[in-house]
Parts: sequence; C-alpha cells; structure tokens
Amino acid sequence: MKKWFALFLILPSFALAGSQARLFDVLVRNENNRPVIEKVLLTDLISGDRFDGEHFVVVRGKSHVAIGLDDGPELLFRAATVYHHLTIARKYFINNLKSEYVSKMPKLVIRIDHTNQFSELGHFAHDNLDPQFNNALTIPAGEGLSSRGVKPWGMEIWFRPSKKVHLRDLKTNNLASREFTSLMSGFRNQMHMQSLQRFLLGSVSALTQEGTLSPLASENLVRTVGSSVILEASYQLIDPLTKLFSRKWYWLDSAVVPEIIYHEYAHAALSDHLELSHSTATIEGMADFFAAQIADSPKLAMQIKKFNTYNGKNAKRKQDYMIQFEMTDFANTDFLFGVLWQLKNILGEKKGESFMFELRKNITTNSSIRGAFVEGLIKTCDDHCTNPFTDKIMILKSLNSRGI
Amino acid sequence: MRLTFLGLLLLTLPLFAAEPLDFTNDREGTSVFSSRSDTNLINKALKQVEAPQIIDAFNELKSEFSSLNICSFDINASVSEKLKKINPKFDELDGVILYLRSQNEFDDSFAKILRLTNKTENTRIYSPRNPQHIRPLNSEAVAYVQNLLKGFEEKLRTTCFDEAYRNLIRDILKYNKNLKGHHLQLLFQMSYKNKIMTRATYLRLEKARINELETLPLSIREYLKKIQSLRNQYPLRDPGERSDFVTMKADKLKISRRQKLLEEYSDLQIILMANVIKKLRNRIEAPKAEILIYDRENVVETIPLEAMERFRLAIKLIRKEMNLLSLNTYFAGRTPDYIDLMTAAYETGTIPASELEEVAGLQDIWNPKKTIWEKSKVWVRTLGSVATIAIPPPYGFIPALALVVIEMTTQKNAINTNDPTVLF
Repeated sequence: MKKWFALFLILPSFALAGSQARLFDVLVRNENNRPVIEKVLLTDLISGDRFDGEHFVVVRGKSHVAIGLDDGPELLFRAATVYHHLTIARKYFINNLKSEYVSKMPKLVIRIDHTNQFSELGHFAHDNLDPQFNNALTIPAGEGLSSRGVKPWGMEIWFRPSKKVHLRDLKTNNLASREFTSLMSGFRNQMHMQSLQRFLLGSVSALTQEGTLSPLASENLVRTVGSSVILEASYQLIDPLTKLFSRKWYWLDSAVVPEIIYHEYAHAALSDHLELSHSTATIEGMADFFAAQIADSPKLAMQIKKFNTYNGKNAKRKQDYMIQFEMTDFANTDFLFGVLWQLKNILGEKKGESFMFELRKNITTNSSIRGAFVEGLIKTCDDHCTNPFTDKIMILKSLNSRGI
Repeated sequence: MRLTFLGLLLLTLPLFAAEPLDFTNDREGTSVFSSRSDTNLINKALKQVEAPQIIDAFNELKSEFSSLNICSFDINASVSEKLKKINPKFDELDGVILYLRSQNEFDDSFAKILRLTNKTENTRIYSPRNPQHIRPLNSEAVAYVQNLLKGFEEKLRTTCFDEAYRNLIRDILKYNKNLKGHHLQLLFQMSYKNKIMTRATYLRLEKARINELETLPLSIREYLKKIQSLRNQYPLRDPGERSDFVTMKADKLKISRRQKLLEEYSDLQIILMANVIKKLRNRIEAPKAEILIYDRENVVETIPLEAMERFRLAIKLIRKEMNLLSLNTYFAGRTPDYIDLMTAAYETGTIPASELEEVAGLQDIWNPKKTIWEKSKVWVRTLGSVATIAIPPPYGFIPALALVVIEMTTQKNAINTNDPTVLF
C-alpha cells in the first residue's frame, strides 16, 4: 500500500520533468539469486508509447524505431528487463566509480532479437550470412559508408534471440570431457598392465612351484580376464552413456539475463580505454568483473573458483595451459575474471573495485595476460595503492600462485 | 696559564660527560613475556609498590651506569634496593622487570637477561655438600681451576659477574671440554674448602652453575653495544614503530625471533642479512630489468624481463643470496633462515613493521607448506605400486585407481620447461 502511495507521489514529478515513468514486468534476481518477475518503475523514458529513454533506446532487430509499448507482452518484457538492468549498470558506473565518460555517453541503441552479424563497414552484415543466436555483443561506433547508404552509427548493444541448439552441433572444446577421458584412459592402462603382470607372475609360479594353480585354469582366467573385460566395456560405453543421460539442448535468452546485460554495458563503459575491436581475454575478463560487481551476486562469486578451474584454463596445470588460450577462441572464458576477483579480495572490496576501474587506463584490448596486463596491474598499483610495495607483493604472489 | 688551562678543562667537562643510557624498546610490539603467569607476577609486584614508583626507580638508576660499566646484577640490586626503601617487604623483582618491559622501558632481550640474573641471585643454596658419587678429578685439573679462581674475585671488581663467570667457564673448558656441571660443582667446593675464595663468591658461582649462566648468550653490556652499533650505522626512520612479527616465538625455540637474532648474530651479520632483503626490495620495486648479452665489449642483445619474470628472478636471487650468506666467512658456516633475514631487515629499518608480514609471505613461494594429503602421497604411491600386484581382482582396481589419481593431481616440478613464453 505504501509502495503504491509513493508511486502516486512520484509519477507527477516525472511528468513535469519531461520523463515518462511507467511500471513494467521485468526479470530480476531475488536474495537467493533466483530469477523472479517483479513490477519495476522505469523512470527515464522520454516517449509515452515507446522504449525510448534519456540514455537508451531499445529497438528490435535492424529497426531504427524504438519498440512500442503495445508490441506484445513478450517483447515488452524483454525490452523492459534490458532497459531496467542497463539503467542499474549505468548508475553503478556513475555513482560508484564516478565515471565521467559514462555520464557523458550519448544515448545507446539497444537491439534485441537481432540476428545479423556485425560488419565494421556496413554496420549489419548481409542477412544471408549465418544468423546469430544465444549471444550478446557490444559494437563500437562506426563512420558508415555513404557510397552504400550506410549511415554512421554510435556504440550499440545487441542481444540475440534464443534458439534451441542440439549440443552435438555446438562447437566446443569439450576439455572437461577430455580430462575425464584421459583419467579413464590412464586407469584402463594401469588395470590392463596389472592383469598382465598377475598373469605373468602366475605363469612363473605355476612353472616353478608344484601345486600352484595355472593362470590358464578357468578359475584364474575368469577372475583376471573378467575384470579386464568389465573395465574395457565400461571404458567403451562411457561416451554413449554420457550422451544418453546428459542434457542435449542448449539455448540462452541473453536479453533476460541480468549478468549478461551488465557485462555488455561494462564493455561500453570501459570503452574509453578498452577498444571494442574484438574479443580478447582482457576486455572479456574486465567486463565479467564489473558485471559481477554490479550484480553483487554471491552465487557468481562463490562459483568463480569452480569456473576458474575449468580445464584448459587452469594455469596451475602447465600440461594443459598454453598462453594461446588468452589470444584465441578460449579468450572469452573466465580465467581473467577469476584473477581479477581474487585480486579484488586481496586489495579489499572498495579499494579493489576502484583499482580495477583504474586498471583500464593501463591496459589495452590486446594486452596479453602475462605481459602488458601484469605490467598494467603494477603501474595501477604504483599510482593508486596506499602501500604499493606490499600491495604489489600480494598481487604478484597471487598471480604467481596461478602460474601466470 | 696553568689555571686558564684547568678552567677550560673544567668548562668542557660536561661535554665529555656520558649521556644517560637509554634502554627504551624501539622495535618490539607485544612482549614474548605476556602469558597469564607473567601478568600475575606483574600484578603481584604492583601490589607491593606502585607503578610510578617502579618507573622512577628505574629512571634514577640510568644515570648510575655507563655503557662500559653496566651490569645486570647491579641493575637488579639497585632497583631492588630503591623499592625496598619504599616497601621493606618488597620481594617481587621478577614482576617489576616484567612490568618495566610492558611499559617499553626495555625490550624482551634486556628483560630476559635481568630475569635470569634475578633467578640466579634468588636461587637457594645450602651448605656445601661433598658429592660422593663423582669420581675425584686429577690434581692437575684441580690446580688449574684453582689457579683460575684465585684471580676471579679480583676480576669481579671491574667486570660484571655474568661476563666474569662465562669467561671463567670458557677458560676451564679450554683445559678439558668434557667437564660437566657436577665436575664444576666439585671443583668449586674444593676451591672453597681450600680457601681459594670466600663463601659469598662460592655461593654466587654455585648459583650461576645451577642456573647455567654460562649459556646466557648476551650480557647487558654486549647487548647495548650491539644495539648502539646498529643504531649508529642505521638510524631508525620511525623509532615509534613496533612489530609483533619479531616478538613471535622463533621456530623450535622458546625465545622470540628478535631475541634469536640479537643472541645468535653479530651486528655485522645482522647488517649483511638486512642487505639481502634491501636488494630484494629494490628488485621487486624495479619498473624494468633487462639481461644484456655482450659480444666482447658491445651489447649484442637485450632481453627485457616481463613483470612476473622480474618477480620470480627476485625470488630466485634471494634464495641464491641466502645460500651465499652461509658460505660467507663472517657467518662461519651458520645458515640464517628467511625469518632471520626479515627480522634483521626490520632491526635496521630496511623493512617497516607494516610490510613485514607480506614480505615474509614470499617464502611460501619457494617453501610452500605441504598438506597432509601431499605428504601422504609419497606413501600411497609406494604402497599402491605393491598393492596393485598383491591384491587380487576384483579389488585390485583400488590401488590402481589411487595411483592414477595421484599421477593426475601431482604437479610436475619443472613447470616452466615446456613453456616457451616464460624465462623465469
């Protein structure tokens, strides 16, 4: 009741200021980090019938017209969710990190249900090229191509529609599965060698000692060969059984996942120093870090360790780790995010947050983790740490423990 | 003319007068003497005399001594005498020493010497008994020791008792290093009976023997000399800083890390150790490091080190320099550990108290603490190898599985050898 009364008081004041305030259903996280739908008041829409606000305009696909408030409940829900979380992210950068760049940032175009690939020259790649699903990206501003009628565009955030994809069609490195296979393979070899050794020992005993049961006797044969056969059968059946019982379908509606929205906005907010030219470990890790900060998600923080020991990105295991991981397809995974989160915990919550924001000035999109990124950390510490010597030691120790 | 010269001399005399001694604790935080029993002793002392009276008594005696004639026995006697004047029933000198330490009038090393001195003085000795079970020493040994003891009382006039006693024992052991405490007991008794020394001297020697005063590594005079030498060469930037890191108990010892440092190392050794940490600090703070390759006189290649490489180089160099220290003739084969180096660096002010914990933590990189699982891996691996053959199927898979898991989880030692991107 009190809430409605407060809204009654607030609404006229926004009307006077030229902004439209309206209640929408949006997806938010509750205190248990579960997704729930709540009614939220969006206060800075400047249009009465479209998703056109002071800082964001939400459009569908390649359209240049904002989504209308009567465009269907599903689209409205997704547009409102995106708008709400982008507003939270923007306020975070302005209020918590005092970002002048964000406060002066021109209105961002947000595209949802957009399947075209990005073209640096043409803005949207041709419709015939592979349509994109289950993803989101932030694109840099472009100058356009007047000869082809492509107008200049500003920085934009694109949310792809979700689409059910069979897991076998996904191009993944499947490293976790490879680790298990390698473990099983080692076990299998060990067991077969054990059976062979036992067979040879039994043969020698049978030849040299009277009364010893021959290894070819049915009792011994069943025991030795039987265990090997069972093991081999298990080894061969692991893959088919895993496929049979595991999840088969994958889809992701990126426009309704708050953390993805924060991540994409973080790209935009950090773009004053981290150029949005291509995806690298550095900018993805930085965006992940600030997404986690904005979300203040305990679940995300608690799971970092688990995510971070994801095989192939675990720098502690030199057998599996290669520096190429930070340069190629693996770059958008979570290694750097884990590193930054660990460093934040070392430096302290508040100090760590501002440190990471300052860090963007001393690194670039192309910074390699072992090289320019670590140098950037040290330089940032020299400029901003209260006790640079000990803080640098803590940072370097932490990086060393990760095998960087 | 002579009067003028005498007048000038009298005028300049105050300039030559020694400044009152300063024993103030300028390095240590919470005292190593902070147990409940220590607190009880302090409370007991404070019931006999008031806190300001203790402080005044101690401050008064500072002007009585110089760095040359200072003696722990005399300090204790002087404080005790002053406090007995206030309260004739005063007998809790140990509590007074602990109270003075708690007020930072001096540090733990100073307190330890005073406490041992006090304990020695208060040891009760009964009339000399003839230890029947000891085989009598040969007459040559007795003559040698008695000869040494003849001059002992004379030496006490110019030397503090603890130093004189240590020198005496050192000289006796020069004759025969296998002499034990009971032999000394017999020798002292025989000397007393032969009237080589007075009963008072005999009792002091016997008390010192019982309390093993010869094992006291430092006398007050030596302690002050060492501290003054360090402070003269390395004046403290912040005399008000205190560290609990250096008052933590040293590994496998009953004394603190700083006590160990001052007792076991000379001022020169402390400075050499501190310099190792100073270099470590410089290397870690260096914004750039390069390896230069020369072709005779010209640089033909410059290899810049990345930040992590610089860090690991600094760690490797400190290990090397620690090993070099133990080979240094000044250390005579003694191998200082990393904590000794840290404590030395703090003693000279190279590392401030606020940085000690973090710099000390660097040791974890080359000497990580092993978990019980890591320690047990070796045994599991050995026993597992045997068990794979010994245990029949179908249970034979258990040791094989354990071996595979260990192989998969054990990190290879030469972790960087396959990585072309890392130099160190």
